Amino acid sequence: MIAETIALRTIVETHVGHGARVHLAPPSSAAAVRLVQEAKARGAALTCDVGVHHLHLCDRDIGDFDANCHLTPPLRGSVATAIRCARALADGTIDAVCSDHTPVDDDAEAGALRRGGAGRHRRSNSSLPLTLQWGSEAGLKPVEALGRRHPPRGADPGRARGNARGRAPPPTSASSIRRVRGSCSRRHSRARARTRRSRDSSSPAASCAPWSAGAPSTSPEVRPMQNPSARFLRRCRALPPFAPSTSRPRSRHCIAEGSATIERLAAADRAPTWENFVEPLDDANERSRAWSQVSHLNAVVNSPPSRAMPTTRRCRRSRSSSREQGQDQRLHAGFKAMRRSDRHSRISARAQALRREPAARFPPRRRGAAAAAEGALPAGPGRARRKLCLALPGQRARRDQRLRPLRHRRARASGTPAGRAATRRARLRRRMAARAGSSRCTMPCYMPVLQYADHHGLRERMYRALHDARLGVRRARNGTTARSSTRILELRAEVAKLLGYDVVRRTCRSRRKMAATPARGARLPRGPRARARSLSPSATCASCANSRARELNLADVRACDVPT
Amino acid sequence: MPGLVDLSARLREPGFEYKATLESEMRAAAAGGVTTLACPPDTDPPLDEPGLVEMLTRARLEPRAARVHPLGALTVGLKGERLAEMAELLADAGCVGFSQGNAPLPGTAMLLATRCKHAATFGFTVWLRPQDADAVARRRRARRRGRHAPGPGTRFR
Repeated sequence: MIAETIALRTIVETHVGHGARVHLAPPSSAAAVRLVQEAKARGAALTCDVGVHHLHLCDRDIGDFDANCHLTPPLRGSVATAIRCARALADGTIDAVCSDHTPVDDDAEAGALRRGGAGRHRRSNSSLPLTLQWGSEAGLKPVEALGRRHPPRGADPGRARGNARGRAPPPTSASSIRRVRGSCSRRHSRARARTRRSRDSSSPAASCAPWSAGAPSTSPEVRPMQNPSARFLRRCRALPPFAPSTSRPRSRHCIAEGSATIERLAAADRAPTWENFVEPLDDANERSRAWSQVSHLNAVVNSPPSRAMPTTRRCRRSRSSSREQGQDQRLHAGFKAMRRSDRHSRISARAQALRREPAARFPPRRRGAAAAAEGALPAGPGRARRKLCLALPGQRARRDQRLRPLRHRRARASGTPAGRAATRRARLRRRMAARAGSSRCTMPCYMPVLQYADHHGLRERMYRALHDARLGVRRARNGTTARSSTRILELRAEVAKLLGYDVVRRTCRSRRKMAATPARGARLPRGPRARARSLSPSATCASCANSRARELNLADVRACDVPT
Repeated sequence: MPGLVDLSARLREPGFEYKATLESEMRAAAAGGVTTLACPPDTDPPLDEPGLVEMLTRARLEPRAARVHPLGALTVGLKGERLAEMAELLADAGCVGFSQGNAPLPGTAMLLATRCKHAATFGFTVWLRPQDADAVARRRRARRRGRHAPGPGTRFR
C-alpha cells in the first residue's frame, strides 16, 4: 500500500510542476483515492480510472487464495475501501471505470494464487453487468452508469490521437477538466447527447459545478453504497440493526465495570499473583475495549451510525484505558510486588542454574547420551537447551537423524583446507547459536501483557500460549482441560451482548479468529510449532512444555514460560 | 446503447498467445459491448517499436472488430531506464499515450520529470500505475528467498 501512495505522491509532484497530462491506472487503497482527490483539488490535470472488480471485491473475497481474485493491483483494502472507490467513482474523483481485462492461461485461472500471473479472464464480458450493478447501487440510471464507461477527455483514446500530432495540450486548470463524455463513434453521438441531458437533469449540482475542489459533496443524490457481503449478511440475519440509543448505556456499563475492577484490585491487600491480579485486569481490559467489536462490525456493515458510535465515545474510552488502567500507580506497585515475589525468584534461580551447568540436571542414563551428542554438536550458548530437548524419551532415533547432516557436513569439510573448514564450522556454530537463542527459557514478566495490550497479535499469542501450556500440563496431571480460551470467548460474547449483538457466535467465534473449541485451540500456533520442529521433527509444544516443566521441577507452567 | 470504451484491456499479443489471442479478445470485447479499447504495452516484446504497434492497429481493419488504441511503452523494454523514442516513432505509428503497463515506475524522479516534460511538449497523455520501484524490488527479492514480504496486517480481532 505504501508503494502505491509513495509513487502517487511522486507522480503528482513531478507532473504538476511540468504540466503534463497524466492518466492514473486503478488506485487500490483508500489513501490513494484521497491523494487523487487532493491532487485534483489542487488543479492537477489528472484523470483516473478504476477496475470494475475493485468496486465489488475486497480482501475478504480472496478467501482461501482464490485465483479468481488475483488482481493487479491486488485487492488490498477492506469492504470500506471498495465502498470508497465506488463512491469516488460516483462523485467523480475517479473519472471512469474500465474492465482491466487481463487474460491468463487456464492453469493460472484454476490454480492457486501464487502460481501464474495476476488477472481475470474475460473481464470484458463481465464488466458491463458489474458496471450496471454499481450504477444501481449508487442510485444512478443505467445510462448514467454507462457514462462512466466512457473515458474522461484527457484519457480518451480517440481524442488523444489528435493531440499527439503536435497540437498544444488543453489548458490544465481544474475548470477545464470535466468528467464523462466519451467519443467512441460518431454514430452514437445522438445517444450520447441524450445521455448527457438525462445526467444533467437528474443531477443539477454536478452539471453546474466544475470538477474541482469540494466536488464530492455536490452529488446529493448518491446513496451510500451497499457492498455485496453486507447484503449477504443482512439476508442471513446474522447481525441485528445497530442502534446507538441502545448501545450507549451498555457501553457506559462496560466502562464502569472495568473501572470497578481496577478499583477492587488496587484496593485488595493480598499478595498479587497471576490469578488474582493479572487475569481479572486483563478481563477488564477486554471489557473496556468493547469498541473493537464495534469497529470490527463496522468493517463488516458500514453504516453511518456504526461509524459515528466509536467516535462519540472515544474520549471516555481512551480515558478509561490510558489514564485509569495504564497509569495507575497502585497497579504498577502490584506488578512490581509480583515480580519480587517468591515464585518469580524461584523460577529465575532455577533457570539460571540450568543455564550455568546443564549436564547436572540430566538423569545419569541420559547424561551419557547427552555427552555423546555433545561431540557432534558445536559449542555455543544454545547447547544446553538443545541437549534438553534431545534427551526427551523416544527421540533418540530422530536425534540421530537430526545429527546426520551435521556429521555429513563435517566429513565433507574435512577434505577442505583448514581455513575454510574452520570458517564453515564457525558459520554453522553461529547459525545454531542464533537458532537456539530463541528457545531459551524466558523469565516470567507480566508487564508486557498490559504494556502491549493494544497489540492484538501479541495478546492472542499470549492467550494461546497460556492455553497450550495449561492444556499440556493439566491434562497430564488430572485430565481436565483448560478454560482460558473458552473464557475469552465467553467474555467476548458477553461484550457483544452488552452492545446489543445477540448472535455473537457467528461473528466472534469464527474459526479464523479464535478457537471455537478447546481442542481446536490446542492446535499449535505457528511460531512455537516451527521452533519445536527445528528442535526435533516430532516435538510438539505440549511435549516441550512438559519437558520444561519436568526439568525445571515446576508445579505448573505459565504462558510466560513458553517461548512465543 | 452506444459502444463502450475500455480504458485498459490486454490483448496478450504479441508474446502471450497461449493466454489469449487477438481474435479471442476481440470476440470477448464484442460480447461485452466494447467497441473501442486501449491496450497497455506490457506484451512480449513490449510495444516500444513502431512495427509492433502497427500490428495492433491493423486489427481494426478486420470487420466487426473493436477499435484498438495501443499505448506505447514509456521506457525501452519497460525497464524504466531509458525513455523510448516517443515522439518520432510511436505517436506516428498510432499510439494514443504512453504507459509502463504493470511495471513499476522508474526509480528516479528525474526520469519521471523528464518524461513529463516530453509529454507536456508533445501533448500526449502519460498513463501511469502508481507503484514504487523500490518497494516492488524488495518484495521480489523477498519472494525469491522464499519469504513473504510483510503485507497488510490482519485487521479483525
